[in-house]
Amino acid sequence: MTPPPTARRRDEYAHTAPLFEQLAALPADDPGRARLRERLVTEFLPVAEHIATRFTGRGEPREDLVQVARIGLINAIDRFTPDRGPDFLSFGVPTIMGEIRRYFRDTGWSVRVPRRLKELHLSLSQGSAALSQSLGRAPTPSELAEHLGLELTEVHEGLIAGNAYQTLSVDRPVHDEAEPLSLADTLGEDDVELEHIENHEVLQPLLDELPRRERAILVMRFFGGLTQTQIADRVGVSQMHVSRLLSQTLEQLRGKLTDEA
Amino acid sequence: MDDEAPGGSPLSELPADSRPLDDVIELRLPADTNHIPLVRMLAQAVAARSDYALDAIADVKMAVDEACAQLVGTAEPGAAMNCRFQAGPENIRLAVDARTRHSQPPSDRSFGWHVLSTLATGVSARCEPDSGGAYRLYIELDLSPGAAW
Repeated sequence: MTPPPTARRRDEYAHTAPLFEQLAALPADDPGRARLRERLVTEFLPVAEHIATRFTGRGEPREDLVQVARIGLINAIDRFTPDRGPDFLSFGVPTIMGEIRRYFRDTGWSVRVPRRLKELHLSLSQGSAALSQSLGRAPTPSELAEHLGLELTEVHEGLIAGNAYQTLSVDRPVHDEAEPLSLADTLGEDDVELEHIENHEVLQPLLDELPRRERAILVMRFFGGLTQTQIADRVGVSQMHVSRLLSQTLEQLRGKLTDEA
Repeated sequence: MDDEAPGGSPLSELPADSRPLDDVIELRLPADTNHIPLVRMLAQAVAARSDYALDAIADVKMAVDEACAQLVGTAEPGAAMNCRFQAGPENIRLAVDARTRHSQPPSDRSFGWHVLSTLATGVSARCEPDSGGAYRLYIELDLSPGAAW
């Protein structure tokens, strides 16, 4: 499917202009806001996907880029006001691209890694996503090797190389209220297991401080009993990304819990 | 907080030629936060060679991080930390130890312990008297390919 030229795209989305006006006219506490906002997000999802696709082939899994683009889209919809001009796209597209660029800046290889290893790591990530879909669970290195036509030792090497890969997203708030995380939210609010932890009165505010997505992922893994693969599926990012976010969140919490002690 | 008895390994029931060699890997390094990534990488390599699923490998890394952080958190200044991985057909067992001034192991009601017991199928910690009035803290983890379930 080839992307339509911008001019056509603008026409295609002309019907959304009144929606933005309606949204701007509603008071902040109006229950209709959420519905309108959701409708707008849904309308513009193809734009987010299209922009994400333009950034593929640079060493990041497409699913992660799409997720970042959607966050950018939601940010843009929340910040856009019709008095900026009638055209959301001329505001939204740069905002989404900015979000993706920031992701590329904050995510990447922390040390110089040979191109071959970077590509290897990316194919492991993609192969893992494909196999998780067909197997319904995360693949093992030998399954990956077979799927990708690689030597087992190469898979091992690629996985180790992944340690030089990092993402800094824990350090900045992620605006992602539209993500379907209701399960995690329910677990987080009424959690019996958390009550059993002796320092939960210290832990709770630290959890509340975490960016929403990081907190949700942590709660799903450690209080909801979900595997990383199940979480990846729910949140819409790769299992490797879930793994990185979890490790970072735990490290951050460990640091803060030690400071409090 | 005693660990279950190690006996009854199904290994001994296998015919000799199909019995995998117990793979023991040991690492001794300063009990210092800066060195934890080394243990984590070794843990990852051991789990990958045991053909754990990718998410289980990631869980092994996190468990090792947490166990080492607990050990380093109470270790005597300048202490060494011993790490011993034993990869069997059913699971990987990690034992870490270091000298400490504390006579009691870390609380089993802490968040860190909760993390450990989510990631590992078995966790145990104990302190034993060591020379010079100090103690030695031992943490042992059983890490299975299906720990998540």
